Amino acid sequence: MPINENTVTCQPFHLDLQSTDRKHEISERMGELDIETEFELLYKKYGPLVHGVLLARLPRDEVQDVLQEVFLGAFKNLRSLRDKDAAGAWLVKLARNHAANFYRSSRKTEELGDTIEVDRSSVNGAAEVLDAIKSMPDSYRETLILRLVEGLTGDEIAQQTGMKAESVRVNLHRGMKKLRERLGIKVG
Amino acid sequence: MNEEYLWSKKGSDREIETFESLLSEFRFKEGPPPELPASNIVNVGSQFKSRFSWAALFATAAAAVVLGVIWIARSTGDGNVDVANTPARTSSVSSGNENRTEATNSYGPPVQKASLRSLKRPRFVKTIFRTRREMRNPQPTVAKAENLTRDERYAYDRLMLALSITGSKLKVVQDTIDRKSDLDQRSNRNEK
Repeated sequence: MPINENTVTCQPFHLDLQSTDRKHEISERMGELDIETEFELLYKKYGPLVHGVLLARLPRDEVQDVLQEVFLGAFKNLRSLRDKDAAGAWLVKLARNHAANFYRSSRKTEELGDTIEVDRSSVNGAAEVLDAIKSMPDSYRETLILRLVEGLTGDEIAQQTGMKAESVRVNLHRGMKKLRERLGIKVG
Repeated sequence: MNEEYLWSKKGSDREIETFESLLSEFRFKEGPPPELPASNIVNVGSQFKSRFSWAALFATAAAAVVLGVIWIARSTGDGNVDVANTPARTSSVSSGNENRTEATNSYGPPVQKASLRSLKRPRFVKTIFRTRREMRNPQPTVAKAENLTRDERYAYDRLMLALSITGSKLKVVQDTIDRKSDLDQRSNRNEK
């Protein structure tokens, strides 16, 4: 029977290969993720975590650049990561190292003059709260930023950073207490 | 403060929600991942480095082998001879340069100076310097053969034997080649 346009009437199934999620799903099912897809997934899953860790340590303007550096560094060493479950803790470590290197390297910065006008009306309250968090000890500020800024739950923070759930719970509780004190909020 | 909301976002807490909404502007904005370096870029630097290191390794190994061969060859010759106890050899070994130094320097007898020098310098350094001197003032090899120890004499004989065998083999090969060329010439003439 000759095949022409009219004979091909049924299509068994249709895969939307344009969708990245679908591609990931297919790749995962096949059990073979190419390194770029793996990297994309890593960025999607741990982007907020790394961003939070960096935001707790660096000036806001620098976070995005250092975030890119962290992920590019991660990409270079992605093959050496054997335990995929430890990826979060590994990335947190990388981010902390990059933040430390940022302060170690003598980057020349120029102070902004008074003539530059910045619209601070919307930023003011938020910046004040963020500065209050950033003035806290390391463990509190990182956990609080991951919870309040990045919107991760306590479980997610513990799972992704490799910390114990109890430690995260304590850090959150004490951190909130300190934040209230610093902002002068009285508990009713 | 609602602890449950702080931990798992279940329920509600006005204060924490206010903080969340305030700080949400600093939240991670999901976008495309950073541009990855092109996969087809060849790291020329590392390749050059590796090539260079291989070349350096090879050169070092070759130099070591050459030095070793020179050292062994020289030490089996007359390296064991004490310079201080053989004034005749010392004078034969010393070059024009050394004679000049002896003439201008009057701190001690030349024989004693030579023995000190032999103590200070490692053997291979001495050998290299001696080789250069000998290139300028070649000595008869007969004098060296007399000073050979028993083992060295044996090695020398074996070497000579090997050389004579090799020479005879080469002669056989040469004869065969000559014979073949003669045959070829003859056959060419016959054809003509």
